[in-house]
Amino acid sequence: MYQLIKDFKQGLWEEHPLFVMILGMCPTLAVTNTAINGLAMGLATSFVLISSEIVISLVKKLIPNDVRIPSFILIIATFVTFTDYFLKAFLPDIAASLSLFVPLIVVNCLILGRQESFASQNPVHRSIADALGMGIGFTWGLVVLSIIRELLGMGSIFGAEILGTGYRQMIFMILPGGAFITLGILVGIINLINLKRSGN
Amino acid sequence: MNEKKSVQNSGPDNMYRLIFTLVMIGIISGFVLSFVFQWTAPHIEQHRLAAQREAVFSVLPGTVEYEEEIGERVVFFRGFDEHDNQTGVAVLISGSGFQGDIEIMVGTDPLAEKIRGIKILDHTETPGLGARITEQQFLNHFEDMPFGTYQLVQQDPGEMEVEGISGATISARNVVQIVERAVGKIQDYTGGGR
Repeated sequence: MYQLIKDFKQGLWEEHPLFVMILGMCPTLAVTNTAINGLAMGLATSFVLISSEIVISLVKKLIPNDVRIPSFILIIATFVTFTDYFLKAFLPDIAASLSLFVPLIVVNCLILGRQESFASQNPVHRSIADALGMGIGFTWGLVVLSIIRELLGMGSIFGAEILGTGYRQMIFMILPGGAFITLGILVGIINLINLKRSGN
Repeated sequence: MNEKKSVQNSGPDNMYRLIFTLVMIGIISGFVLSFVFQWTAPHIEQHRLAAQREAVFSVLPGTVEYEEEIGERVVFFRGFDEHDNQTGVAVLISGSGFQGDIEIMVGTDPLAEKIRGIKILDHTETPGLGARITEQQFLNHFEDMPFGTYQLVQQDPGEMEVEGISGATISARNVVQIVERAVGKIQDYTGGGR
């Protein structure tokens, strides 16, 4: 049990996929311009991560070492396609706003990275704990990033006006450049916190 | 260790095993996905039709009923109000955007030679940038625009001018071009004010 909690907690802060391992930059930089997009992307990625970690952890002994990477990609692609159809059928609004970034989850290196370094070497229950931790970590990272960008770029959070109509929108923040700068500052802050903690 | 093992195993037997594994995974995932597709396809089609229906009503205000007519690579919709008077003609047209096709419903009043409203039905523009072509703020520029050709400007649009979207000039320009093409199609279809 202690081991499971440790696996779960790792993705939340210590080995945070965005701010510590700097994985999955494509969706991170591209879709975090509004909070709702960031949240939807985080949840979609978490779903793919959890389901593929379960499957790969179950079948890992059947897959020969030489073809493990293509096999992982096939399994991940299956879940991504499933997510794409599912969102289009039942959540058309979110599917429309994420559009082509849903199929692009397949190349998110966070997902392949976790299969290679965790699911393919650990039993199912530990893989689930790891996937949940990493998924939640990735999601909160995207949400924080997108809230900052949406607030400064459009003056709203989750589509609700916060700063009023008088606010001059910093369009730059919702363009790709704003994503790099926000991410850089957040990574800096988190490194600073970790440095202080280890210093004590 | 692992490296050595795989080299020793790379005989023809191992080769077959590799191929077999990949083929099996491919078959299973194809099988699963065909079920997912069958399950979701009717819902997706339903959303598409609902969106199309709603688009006709929104680009031709006052419409309660419409007739559909398939044209050459476009679909025309003749809208009628509750007294059976024609509210206008809409056309569903698609053209290339920044990355994929943009599908637009353009509602017009062919008698007054004016656009009544437009709505984006489908696109694959960059979320947050090109995707802002779907925002009402941008679409409103086309309302009551006379037939003709339009200019894209950065701010303060005048007559026959459309205000672009910062960071998405190409997407906005393509929408303008598609709308111009739609106007041409409508003019051909109604034969100049039928």
